[in-house]
Amino acid sequence: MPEKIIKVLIAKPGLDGHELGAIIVIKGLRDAGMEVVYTGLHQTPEQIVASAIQEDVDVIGTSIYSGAYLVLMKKIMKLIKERVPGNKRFLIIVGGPIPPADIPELKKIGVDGVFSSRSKIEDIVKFIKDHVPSNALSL
Amino acid sequence: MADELEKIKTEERRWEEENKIGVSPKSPKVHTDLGLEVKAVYTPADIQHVDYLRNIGFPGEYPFTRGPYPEMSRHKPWRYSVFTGFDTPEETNKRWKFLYEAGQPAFNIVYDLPSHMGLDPDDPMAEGEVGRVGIPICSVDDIETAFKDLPMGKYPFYGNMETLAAIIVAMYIAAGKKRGIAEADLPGSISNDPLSTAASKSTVVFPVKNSFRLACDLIEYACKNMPHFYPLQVKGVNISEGGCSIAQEAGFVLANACCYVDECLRRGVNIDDVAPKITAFFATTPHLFEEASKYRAFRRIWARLMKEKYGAKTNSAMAFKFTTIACPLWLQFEEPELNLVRATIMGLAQALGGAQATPHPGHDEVFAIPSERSQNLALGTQQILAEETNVTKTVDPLGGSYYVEWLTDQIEKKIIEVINAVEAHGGALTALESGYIKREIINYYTKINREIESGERVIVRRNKYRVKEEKDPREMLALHTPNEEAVRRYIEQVKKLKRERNNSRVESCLIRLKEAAKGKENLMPYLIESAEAYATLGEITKALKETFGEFKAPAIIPI
Repeated sequence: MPEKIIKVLIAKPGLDGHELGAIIVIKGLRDAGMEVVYTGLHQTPEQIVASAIQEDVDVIGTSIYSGAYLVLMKKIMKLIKERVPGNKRFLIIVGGPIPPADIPELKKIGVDGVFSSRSKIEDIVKFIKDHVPSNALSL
Repeated sequence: MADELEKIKTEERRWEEENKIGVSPKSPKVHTDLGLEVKAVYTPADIQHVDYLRNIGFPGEYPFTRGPYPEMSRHKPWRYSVFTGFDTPEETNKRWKFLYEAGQPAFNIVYDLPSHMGLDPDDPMAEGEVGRVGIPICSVDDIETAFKDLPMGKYPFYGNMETLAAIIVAMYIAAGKKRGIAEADLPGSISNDPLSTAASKSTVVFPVKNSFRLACDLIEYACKNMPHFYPLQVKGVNISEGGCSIAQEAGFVLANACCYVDECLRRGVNIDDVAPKITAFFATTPHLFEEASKYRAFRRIWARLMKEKYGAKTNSAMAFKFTTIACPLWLQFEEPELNLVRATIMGLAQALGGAQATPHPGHDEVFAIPSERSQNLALGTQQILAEETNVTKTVDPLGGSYYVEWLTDQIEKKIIEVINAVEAHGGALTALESGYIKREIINYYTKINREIESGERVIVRRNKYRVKEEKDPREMLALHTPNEEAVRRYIEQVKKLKRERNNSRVESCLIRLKEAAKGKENLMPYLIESAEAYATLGEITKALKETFGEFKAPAIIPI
């Protein structure tokens, strides 16, 4: 069976405009053969979840430099629960300067992986390949 | 003289051959980040083309390579400071008082994201963001609180605000009036550069051309009414944080500065009135000699541009003044105390480059809002540089160094190349809207990032000499934690203000503002009137959006 190309949505939720991290990751994932859709800046949780459904991605990666990661991720996770059909599962990753103390809270609400500017692109790629939901990989 | 130089060149070739310089695998070629090949040593022959009086000259005189003022910091230190702003105006005021006691001769303010975007703290879109990366400023009430028990008007007020700068300055003017300080006596400066913001953090709020109009309204107003206020700091630091090269930083902000100058001239402002009002806010990387040379080159380009292109006649129009901060992108997570060392070296580059103001970062700033202790160390670092090291005893001490003069010339050429490329792409406004500038910056940083990841570019303790840590470095620092209770109380105060002020007065001010925005009038008087009526930043922004529309950041992914 040919391997399906993994499709990733990289999103910038909230008001923060620091974009460098998101762009570096986008380039890295593309170089690793993934298909990446970028939302651009200042997206609301509603817009992000709508894009993820419309683009039928396998992975949602959010990049958040400000302090609002918990508020924003809670909203995004709630919307996914409400709006995404039951058999579809996204792999959810978050990137940003997230204090280690807040990582368990993010995991608890359903975030699969948390990365920082010190994460190597190859580690992010490996994490996605290892954890992407099986429903996404079967043709 | 010519014979002497020939002799030096011959001797240099002999020396290179004898020491196998640049020919053996043990002596590979060395380059700066701009791709300039750097020789093992520089001699008088490398600067033989330099006409001292024409290209270097004296400080305080054309072409201002050595500095904008004759004696620079010999008798009075440059204006060092730290940027402050967190939680609420009340909490920020406490820190300002601490810093005032510690000898900070300015009040520097950094705003939170809702303020940058024109959202009030009680706006649902602001949830979780209030006071997180800076101070929330919602109404004139907040400016008054921030300055409580502090000598407003005595020391300058620096605002790190982009598109909505005109509204913030209107509030500053309104707060000054309440204290009996006339706008003509208010000192300070504000970024007010939506153009560089459009190429970086995208807190542009309105479409670029309308954000630009508002910025020019403030510049024009300050030229006429605020002799002690600098209404534009072209913001190199924004694009430096976005990853640009030093030539891109200088070149792009110069291209931006020309847009503001052109518009002010179109409005009938004289070049000798507007040019002295323009300063820059740069970032300094740890590359000491390149940075000092960048500042020397920038001053020379500015002086020539003002004189030759714009016909400026006064020294103050041609003498460029700037603020600069150690570039946050070059501070590291690993062993964050080492950022104290990095920032000190960047601070030295700023001193040698002839900076007028140097807000200094906290070593913990890569993780959070700097703590009081870290800000105290940052201020102390600048105080040591300015008052303990003797680097200020003479002006431009690097001037005349064979290497630095050569490098200044080379960097000047690189900066001019960037300016010409922007021109070739339709000028700064077009190049911003087409995404050219953003793409150029990101392409450059992608290269740098690859070098860091591969270890080719050494970042100590990040990719070399790594000490195995058991703990996250954050656990070893007493980091700032947001005071959520104070923020909650503050949001209640904002709601109370909105209930209790004279709302029909607010409404009529906003109606007048909206009407004026449709025409071409300068909006400052309307903004000041609204600020005096306690209209909020969110309300004023919303009123302007009705006419101006909203900025949509292009989603650019470079190839």
